[in-house]
Amino acid sequence: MKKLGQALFLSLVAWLTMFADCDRNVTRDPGFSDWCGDQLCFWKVEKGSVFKVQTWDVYEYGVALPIEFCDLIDPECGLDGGPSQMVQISQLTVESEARCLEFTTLGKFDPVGDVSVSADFNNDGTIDFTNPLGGDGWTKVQVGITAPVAYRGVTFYVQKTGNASPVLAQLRVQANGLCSGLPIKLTQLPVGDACSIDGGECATGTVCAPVAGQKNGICSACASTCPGGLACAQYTPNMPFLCAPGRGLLQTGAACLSGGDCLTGVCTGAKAQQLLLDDAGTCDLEALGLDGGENCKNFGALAGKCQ
Amino acid sequence: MHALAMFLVLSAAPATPHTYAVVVGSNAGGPGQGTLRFAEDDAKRMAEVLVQLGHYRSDDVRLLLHPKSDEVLSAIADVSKTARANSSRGEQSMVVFYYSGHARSSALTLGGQEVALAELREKLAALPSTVTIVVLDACQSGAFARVKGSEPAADFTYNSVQRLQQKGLAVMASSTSQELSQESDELSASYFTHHLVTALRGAGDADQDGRVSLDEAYRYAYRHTLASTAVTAVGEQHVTLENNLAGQDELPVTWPSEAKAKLELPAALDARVLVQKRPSGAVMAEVEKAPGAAIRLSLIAGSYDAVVGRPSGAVQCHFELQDDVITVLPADDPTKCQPVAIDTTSAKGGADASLSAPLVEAPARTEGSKWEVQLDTGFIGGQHDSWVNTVNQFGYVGGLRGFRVGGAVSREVVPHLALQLELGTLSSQNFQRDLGTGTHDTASLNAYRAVLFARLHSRLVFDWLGLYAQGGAGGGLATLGLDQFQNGGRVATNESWFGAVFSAAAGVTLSVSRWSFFLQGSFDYAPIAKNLFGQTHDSGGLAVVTGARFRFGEAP
Repeated sequence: MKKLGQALFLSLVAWLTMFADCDRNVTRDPGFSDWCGDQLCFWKVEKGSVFKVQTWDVYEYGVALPIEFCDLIDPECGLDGGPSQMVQISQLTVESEARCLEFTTLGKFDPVGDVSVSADFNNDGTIDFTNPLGGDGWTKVQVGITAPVAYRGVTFYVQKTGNASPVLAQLRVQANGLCSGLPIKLTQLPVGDACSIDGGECATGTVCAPVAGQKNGICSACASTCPGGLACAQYTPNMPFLCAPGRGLLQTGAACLSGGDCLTGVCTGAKAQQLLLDDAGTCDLEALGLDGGENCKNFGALAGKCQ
Repeated sequence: MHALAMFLVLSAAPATPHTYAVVVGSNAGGPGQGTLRFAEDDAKRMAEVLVQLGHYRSDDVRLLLHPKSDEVLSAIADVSKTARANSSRGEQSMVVFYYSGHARSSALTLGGQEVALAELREKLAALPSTVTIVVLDACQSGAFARVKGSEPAADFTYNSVQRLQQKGLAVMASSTSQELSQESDELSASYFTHHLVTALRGAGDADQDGRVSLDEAYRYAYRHTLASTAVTAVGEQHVTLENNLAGQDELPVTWPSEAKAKLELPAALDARVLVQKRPSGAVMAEVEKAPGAAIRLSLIAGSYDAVVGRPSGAVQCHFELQDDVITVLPADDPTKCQPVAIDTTSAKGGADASLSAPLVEAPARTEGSKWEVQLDTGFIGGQHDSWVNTVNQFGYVGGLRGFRVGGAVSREVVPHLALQLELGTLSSQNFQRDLGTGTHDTASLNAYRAVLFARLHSRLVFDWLGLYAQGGAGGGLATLGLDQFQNGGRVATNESWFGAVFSAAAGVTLSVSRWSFFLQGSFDYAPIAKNLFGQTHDSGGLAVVTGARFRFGEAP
């Protein structure tokens, strides 16, 4: 009888788990209706500019990605100073749990340009998924993907190139229980990205170090031991394992998070990764050794290299 | 002595007196008076019978329809001039002045103009004719919009007789001073003129001498008008005759025996007979035929129908009248007569009225029934068009709320035709959108209309079951309310559009007293709401509606 009860309980838990991701929004402002002045509140304009437009009704808004005449000193500007080729907006998220992601886009996609929606898992600057958007007139495009096994944060992009002025009315990214296709395979992840213990996603020469209390690991310079008997340790549980962090012993080219790690005292390319959207504070990696990582407890970090 | 003198005057005349008639019909009412429906038709019928059976040359009958006051007075002046010329040659003249229309206590009203009774009396009294007959089927709409007659408080009949009463002048009025005169939908005439014309066509020839005298016509019109109006809501109507024709006991007005085509109602026939001309359906005569003597009606040649009502049932007979032939009504010939349904249950007032019910006006059709108010409710199918598709495309789902309500007021302007102003709702659409923000966006589209309808209606079974069809156009209002989640809070907005609405409907009515209940199918075309894509939403569609109408302003 007790076993039957346990079986029913486990079944219920499994059932609830299966639907826990049912249509949960991953992005904010899916209708491009939240504007702070003339800027979108939750989308960042990476390149070009955007503006607010009415769609089917005077009170229903969208965002236009217009043609812009560029400055000749802009390296992406054509030689004739003609229209800029690219407008890009992005939204950073700290999503790390969703297994299945469904993109639903409604827009008027000008066929003379290329419009796409992209995703950068781990927010490391590498586009891991891109889907073109197109259609005649106002078109709804839906696509589902299976997220990488392990990731920590996703940045979504909408980008247009060419002489087109598309309008987006909606972009919803929902976590749901219906995965489509194989999981996106991440490779050559830098030190600091999330990884699966047995996934082999980390770059050559690095390891996926397990983290106590977490199912996923972090691509790290070491997992447990370091050459010369140096300690393999973390500044904070969200940061990668380094050899002798904060002791100024690492040679040129070694992975580092702050200048205090390096023999030369100079670490370049290290970057803090935000793990909370709101009230994350600021994380000064150079101060890691001074405050024990207190200011960066809500951040991960991508390693740089000692100079 | 006077009568003897007048008789000698007319008898001694070497030639037939000249006959002239001024026949006036005016449906138009004055201020505060409704429009009559049959006054001008009554005038036509009177002119027709005078020409056909009264020795009146058509050139000598001045038929004035919807005239102005100066036209009436001018016609009288013309007749006066002619009669004076006759008189100067020692020839006699007889003049009939007939008027059907509205009146007040002191004047006849011709639309916005009036002819003062004092002036009319003066003109008619001054006619140099030997005999002048004045027939007034006067009407006035007061509290009872289509009721003919004078103001109840005024002594029209008495006053007019007193004012017009002169030597050699007789005045027949359609009602007493305290009564109102009435029109009948069924007869398409006023009761009085209808029975007067029937009398002049031969039904009034009580002594069967081939002529209908003024007195015979009066007696017939009096009796039958009284019987017909006894069952109406307005009440009894007594025809009056003030005969001041000195020495003229039997003044013939028509000579039915001289007509070429005659319809004979057989001596044994005991029935109420309604004779209608084909194909117009115009009622030519209505006769309460008692067994004993045959009655001959003088009509023009042509095709006729006759409804013969008897306690055992009613038949409708078809027959042809030919010149120089006396046609006997084939009331018992099954090859020419078909049974018809007659409502024998609504009659009042004994045997005389028992079979007259279908031939007289029921209370529900009196003047007051012109105005109705209506409340209705039903369901409308709505339209799924490109506008709705766009709303759906932007994530809003849901849609039609098909319940509709309305109200209306209508007025009958001519028989079987009413104008109706209707206010009501059209289809509504309620949408919801879930963009995963934790709250729903809503869009509510509501539409309303104000439509002016023209409604044609007809009765299927007497007064209680009818059919109608109506079409109309008007304006509509559509409102769209959006309630959205923006910038962390809810934002409500409203928009509205105005547009044209076209509607058509058909239905059946079931009438009980002042109430009638209806069921109708309708279609509305209401392209009012718009969007920025240039699409328009039709808030109309097919609908099924039921409701009730209530007649008000009816006579007690």
